[in-house]
Amino acid sequence: MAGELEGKVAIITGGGSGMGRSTALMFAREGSAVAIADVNDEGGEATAAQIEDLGGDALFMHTDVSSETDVVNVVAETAARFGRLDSMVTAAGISYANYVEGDDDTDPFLHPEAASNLNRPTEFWRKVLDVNLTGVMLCAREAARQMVNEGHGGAIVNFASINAYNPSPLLTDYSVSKAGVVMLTRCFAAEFGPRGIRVNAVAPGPIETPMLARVHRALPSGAADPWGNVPLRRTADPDEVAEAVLFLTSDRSSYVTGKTLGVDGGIDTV
Amino acid sequence: MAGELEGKVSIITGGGSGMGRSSALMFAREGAAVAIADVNDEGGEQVAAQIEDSGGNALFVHTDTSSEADVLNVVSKTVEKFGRLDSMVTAAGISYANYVEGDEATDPFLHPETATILNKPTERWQKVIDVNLTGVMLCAREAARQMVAEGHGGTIVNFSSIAAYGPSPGIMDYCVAKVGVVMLTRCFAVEFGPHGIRVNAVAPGPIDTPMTASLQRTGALQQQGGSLPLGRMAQPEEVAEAVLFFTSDRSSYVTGKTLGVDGGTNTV
Repeated sequence: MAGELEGKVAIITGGGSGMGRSTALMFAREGSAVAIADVNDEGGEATAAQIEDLGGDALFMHTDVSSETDVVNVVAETAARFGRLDSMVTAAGISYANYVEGDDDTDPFLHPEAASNLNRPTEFWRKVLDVNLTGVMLCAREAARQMVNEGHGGAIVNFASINAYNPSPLLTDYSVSKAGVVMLTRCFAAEFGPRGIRVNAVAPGPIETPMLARVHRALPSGAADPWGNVPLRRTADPDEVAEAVLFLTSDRSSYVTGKTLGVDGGIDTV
Repeated sequence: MAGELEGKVSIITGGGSGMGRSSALMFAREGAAVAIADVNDEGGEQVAAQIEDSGGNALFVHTDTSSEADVLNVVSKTVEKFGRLDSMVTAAGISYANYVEGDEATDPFLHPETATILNKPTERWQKVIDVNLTGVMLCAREAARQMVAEGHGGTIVNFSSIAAYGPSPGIMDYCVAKVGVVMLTRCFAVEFGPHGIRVNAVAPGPIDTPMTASLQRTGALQQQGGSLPLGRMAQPEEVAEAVLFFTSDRSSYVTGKTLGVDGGTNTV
């Protein structure tokens, strides 16, 4: 049986790890050619190689999503290599300014005092907004431009978070950026709906990714399970989010646009 | 390839027409045995027959979802015939009190003056709340009771509406019932999550169903659809796809959510 995305071409930011990687692999299994856009060269190359080894079509492009040049470049390279663009998934994101560098000294979970709004330097705030909000805008906009130029519809799926709804004292910048993604998704849906481009988002809860591992390692030993009150009583595998991304990308969601779907085990949000 | 719901058993209220019917047929194609619960005997029997003719397993049970006895009956009949219950879809609903009877004199879209809050009799409000809100509660609760008793998880998908978010003159009772379904879905998700029962809802926009026929006669629905970002009204199958997603393991970490299937109406 043909895959759900046979003949389609997707760009997946943050495809080098976590939910972006799960999404990239799932899209490839469903027949899509996939461009992985990530600052993480090792992870991105590994995802692309895994797809090629399975007989799929993949491409890795080093991409800082907060750089307009990088975003324009990955869209151009993808269209040049695979001939078109049908979908954009903006999974790239950082939980704090120095997340990519793995800087423990400014990890808000290890050093809550440094993450207080009183103590956090403006450049940390700016960095998180640049990647998590402006980066999403740039990727969604350049994808929409390409799809409009190609004269066909498409699908964009953004990554919000439960933190879009629940303020966390350690993650003001992250929470604000993710709430912005919810509204950006609605604005883009309203503008690009008439072009046949659907724009939706997922809002993941606690998912077993490298980003969540940073949260867990900061817990004192013997601490209560932070997810004990989630209605489904567990964290989730990244594939469970990728399934929602696939649904929102495929024709199965043909009348759904502008929506943010929580994939959060029932944490009380929307 | 096996269907997504192979070996599963579903009850679909309102399965005799519109989005309930589309969901029933789609679930059957995906391998589920389907019990159709509807007050519409002709439509319900016909959908059940169509599923049987295609080699599926189906059952029709005359069910007024606002009757506790009827809801208990359809759950027990379903389990008796198919041995278990895995999912409940509460698609049954009415847009106004005399909808089932097809009473045009009180159709709020054809006769808006009779549907204003000032002119609508209390019993009409009561009827809409009974079917669209209490009916959903009864079906979801009895399904959850059965699933908990059987000792396995399951899924419940309720039908809300864009009317849950946008007050519409003439259908105040309907709007209130449908926003109640959004909160009921969250409450049930919190209580039954630990049992492995996921509870979600869809909130359809302008869909081409018998319920919207009178709106389509006036041209209002086409107009509404044309003003949406996607610029059209939708077919019931496009809603059934979302119901299937929420019912299948593909949405294994999604619960308590209401997904608009509305062409981009500015809601959730």
